[in-house]
Amino acid sequence: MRSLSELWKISGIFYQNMAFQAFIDARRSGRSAATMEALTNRIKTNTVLNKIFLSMLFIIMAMYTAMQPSVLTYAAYLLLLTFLFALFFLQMVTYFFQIDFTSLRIYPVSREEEQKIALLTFIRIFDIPLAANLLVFPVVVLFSAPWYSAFLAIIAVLVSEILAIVLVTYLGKVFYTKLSTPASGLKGAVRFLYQLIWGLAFFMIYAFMMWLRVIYAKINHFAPLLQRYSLLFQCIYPTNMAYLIINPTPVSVASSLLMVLLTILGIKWILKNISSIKITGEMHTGQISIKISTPMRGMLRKDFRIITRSPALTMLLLFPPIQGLLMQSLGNSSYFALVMLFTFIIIFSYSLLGSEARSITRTLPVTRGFIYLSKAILGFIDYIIALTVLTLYTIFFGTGISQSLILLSLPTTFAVIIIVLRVGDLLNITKNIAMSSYGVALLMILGDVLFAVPLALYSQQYGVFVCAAAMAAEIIIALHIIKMQ
Amino acid sequence: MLSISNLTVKYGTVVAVDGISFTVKKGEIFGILGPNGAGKSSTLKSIMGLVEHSGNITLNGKKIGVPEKNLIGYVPEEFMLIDVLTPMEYFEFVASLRRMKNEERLARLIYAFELEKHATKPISALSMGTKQKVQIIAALMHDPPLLIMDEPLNGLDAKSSRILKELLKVHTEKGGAVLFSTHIMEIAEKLCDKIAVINKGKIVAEGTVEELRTQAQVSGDLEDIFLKLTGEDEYIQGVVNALSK
Repeated sequence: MRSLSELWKISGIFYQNMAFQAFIDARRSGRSAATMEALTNRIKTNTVLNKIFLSMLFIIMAMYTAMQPSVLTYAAYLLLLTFLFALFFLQMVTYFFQIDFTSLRIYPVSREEEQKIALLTFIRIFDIPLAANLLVFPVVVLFSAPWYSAFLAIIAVLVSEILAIVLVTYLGKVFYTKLSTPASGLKGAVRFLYQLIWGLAFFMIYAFMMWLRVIYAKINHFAPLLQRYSLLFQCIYPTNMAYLIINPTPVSVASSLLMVLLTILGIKWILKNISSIKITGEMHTGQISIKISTPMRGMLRKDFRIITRSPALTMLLLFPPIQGLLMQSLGNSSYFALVMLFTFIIIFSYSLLGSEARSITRTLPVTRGFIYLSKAILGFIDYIIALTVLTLYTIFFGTGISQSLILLSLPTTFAVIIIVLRVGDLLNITKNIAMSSYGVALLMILGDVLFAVPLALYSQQYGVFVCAAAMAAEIIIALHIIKMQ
Repeated sequence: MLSISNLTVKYGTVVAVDGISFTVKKGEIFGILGPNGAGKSSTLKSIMGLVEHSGNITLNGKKIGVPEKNLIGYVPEEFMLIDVLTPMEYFEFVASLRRMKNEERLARLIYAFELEKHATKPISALSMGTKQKVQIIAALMHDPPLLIMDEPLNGLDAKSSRILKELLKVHTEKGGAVLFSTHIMEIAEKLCDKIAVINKGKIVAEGTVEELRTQAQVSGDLEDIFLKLTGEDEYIQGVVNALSK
């Protein structure tokens, strides 16, 4: 039987492979052997940095809690901890269910060791933030409560974390099943819906980060409600645990004990689920019928299918409307909101080009210009969706993005996407995965400048003419690119 | 039909294909034989524009541009498929880009290669042999005059191999041409009208099996001819001698 440290080392290989898969899926661009070593090292660093980032977020939350210790702030901390923990790790846990631990069976590894390796790989997903929370929150509690409260805080954090892991394990398994099965019609729509929720998890963390200060500032507004229904709140999570730490009552102690019991059951459930990993996705067979359409429709349909089956691309599709909404809700100017929104249109369009299996299209009768055009159409559609969402926001809330600016941005959007894609292709950014982050940053800056300049010129003297001239120049260049072989 | 002249492919300082020339005529199955790393795949990839190269490649007298690619069906050695799509979705994509008018031929090919039961599974979940069938069907579905196939029988079961070989014969009988690379001597011997033996990026011999036999001055089968032409016969004899000690 191998020692725990040996098994931990082996689980590290599976974990790195899982992180690698997640990274590759997020960047469906070419990869060359020469960059693989650098890439692997970068993924290792990124994985640790991501965990440190989440731990920092929890530390900030703990600081906010320390500034105004109360049942409400403690409860808010525990609730946010549960949901952020589950949301942050949802994608990684989904990838965990893709790992085939049976590959170990060709080596002298027992079934028991195989299960232990699976468990340790699973623990590796959460390790740093899990430990950080258990350390930080009890220390914060010590500032305003007696020593035994810190011990109770450890229990509360542990219960919240296990609850989050149960939640994320369940969701990860469901999402893996749904996302790994291609489907059409109604099933396809359901699958896409799952994909959207999966992608939204990421945005929710982003939104929480931006609204964290607001949440803690407004939390005490609920104090009267807490007083009125005190008994009820002593029974339910997370306020029962908050009462347990700050002001233990018989009811809160009893309900917290029940939570601990549930947590133990939760741990058993997690162990059972991660040790019986198998692909549950069904394989469907059906009638043979294909819809032959025009080359452009064929290309767009193919791209749409890839988007709806790639969580990373679905997320990128969602980013522009959400970014636009966030920018508006935080009171930024229309001009700034549009430019920020467009930044994500560039990332989306560029990622679509990266996802294009270039070697396949090279063997087919299509020009490079045609491929740029197809990606620009999808980028433009995403831009229109984002603008529609922003317009609805304006209608509902009275303030919002300038409609004239929206109209003005339409022609330049299309042209700039095409120019940026061509530049990205010329610089070979899509081929070099290790360099792609810097390349994308370069493309984002170029795209933003090309997009922003005509709009900025509009408000200047003779703005209409200068703006029109700048846009015309961009459109001419874009048309020239579309015509290329 | 296909004419290649002075084709050179370099990967950095390594010369993979060194100024080779040959012609594939209508109604001809032209085989490229060579040891691993001889430059077979690089030659075929050059025709499809997948690798940088110098020299002239023409199809029916024209350089191979976008319209000419509709006259070619290409089966690469490594899988060039879109994993998240099902075979049917992939065929739909390729058929649309090729502006195909109907799917009758596709349906027949799917039936011939028994792909019906796999047609709606994701390509990533298919076995190697089934993936190869997808590539072959995608190359044949628009009934192109020229087929370029890089080790097309890799992974295929006996039945599918036989069907493909018969299809290639019918294709050339109807006036089409086939250029394919293989390392299986029996197949090349049975199937090819003409063979080019390529070694270290250069064509060392070209002609019918009979012509190659004369050039190599060997009376055996194609394997003997091939080993003699590539100079590997002496090496093999040396290895056999060493192993038998």
